[in-house]
Amino acid sequence: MTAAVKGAELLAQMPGSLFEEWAERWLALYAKSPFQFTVITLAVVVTVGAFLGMITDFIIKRLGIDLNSREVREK
Amino acid sequence: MSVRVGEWFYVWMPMAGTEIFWPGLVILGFGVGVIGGFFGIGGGWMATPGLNLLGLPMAFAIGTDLTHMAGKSIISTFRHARFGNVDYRLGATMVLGTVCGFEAGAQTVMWLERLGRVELYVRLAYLALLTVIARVILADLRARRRSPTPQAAFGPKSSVVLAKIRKIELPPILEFPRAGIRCSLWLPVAVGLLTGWLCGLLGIGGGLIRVPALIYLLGCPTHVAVGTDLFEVAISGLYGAATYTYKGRTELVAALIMLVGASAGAQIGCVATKYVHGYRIRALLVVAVAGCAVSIALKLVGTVQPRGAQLLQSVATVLILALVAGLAAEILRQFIRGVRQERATPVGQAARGAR
Repeated sequence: MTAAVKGAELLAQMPGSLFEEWAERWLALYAKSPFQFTVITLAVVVTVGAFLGMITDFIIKRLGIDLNSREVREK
Repeated sequence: MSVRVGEWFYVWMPMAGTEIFWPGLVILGFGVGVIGGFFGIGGGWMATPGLNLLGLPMAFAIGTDLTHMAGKSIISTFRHARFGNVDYRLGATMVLGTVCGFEAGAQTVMWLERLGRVELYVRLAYLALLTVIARVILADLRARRRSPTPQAAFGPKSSVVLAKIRKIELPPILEFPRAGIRCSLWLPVAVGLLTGWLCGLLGIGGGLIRVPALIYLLGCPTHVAVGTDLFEVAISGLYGAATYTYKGRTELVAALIMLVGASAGAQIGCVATKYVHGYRIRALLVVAVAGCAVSIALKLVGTVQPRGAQLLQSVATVLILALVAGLAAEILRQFIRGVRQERATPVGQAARGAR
């Protein structure tokens, strides 16, 4: 909690921007409900991770790598 | 932070109240992603010092690393699942032990912190563990060089002990078809409990411990051990990320930037296992383990010997980052070579023609 307050103080010294507004809301969310903050953080990370995984999956397919078979080199 | 390449290259971290060089986060995420996807290791032992070096305070470095690790492990688990490398039954059996063990490890850290001995004992535990793992894998590699058959991989004494452990017939006995093993329920639970405890104690995903345990103790094939371990890393990573985020020690922006590099890196690492012999994966793993052990030993010497401590800390951090870059480059080389070979085959040509 202390770190978040420190972050908010430092943020106040930054020039106005869209990112500043977002960061302020983000810090306010943590101050209001750490549980909600945790749930949203994990949901965002998992969703973004899965989305990025699908994109790279598509790119790897386009490169011509056969993703449906695995010839294990254990001989 | 003293030399500013350009304001555009720095991003504000609201929780930690500091600015970070974001291309460094992408590079670190990519390197650790490649290594993680290849070995089934979350890479916490490399990413945390790297994040700390880039400017995040240590508690934020641990929390952010665990959070990005959770997202990255999900990507890698999907990839390995597609190859049929994840034994979900085995993973689900181990989860109970892993979560209980993780919490017990975290409580051990709290107890050591109250005693004021956490830094020393955790580093000593790291060093002891890495030394044991390096010795076990080295013994395996030496034995395989003498005789390439899997049966001769261990010395007679070790093989007898491992065979006795595997043959424990404490009911219920379960079949794990994907891994091709049959054993007592309590064996994977015990592996999960022990590795989970070490994960909670050392603040890592646990692949470094779990992959050798799955291979040598349960008898899993290397690729199934890597895939199943990633499933466990995702579970323990999510648990660790939740704990640190709740305490306000996670930087979502940094974790997401790292994920961009890690998403590509993890896929490359996973696909690279398709082209590399299990023996070679273990040989590269021993290099990673030994390099990490040396780095921790340097930090430990710096702790007990204040003179030159700063220099030793810097050498240890540079060694970790050089290890990440070197291993990622080698895996990338294997990946490119394998892709070229596959594209030259009729299967690869058909895949390209079909799109």
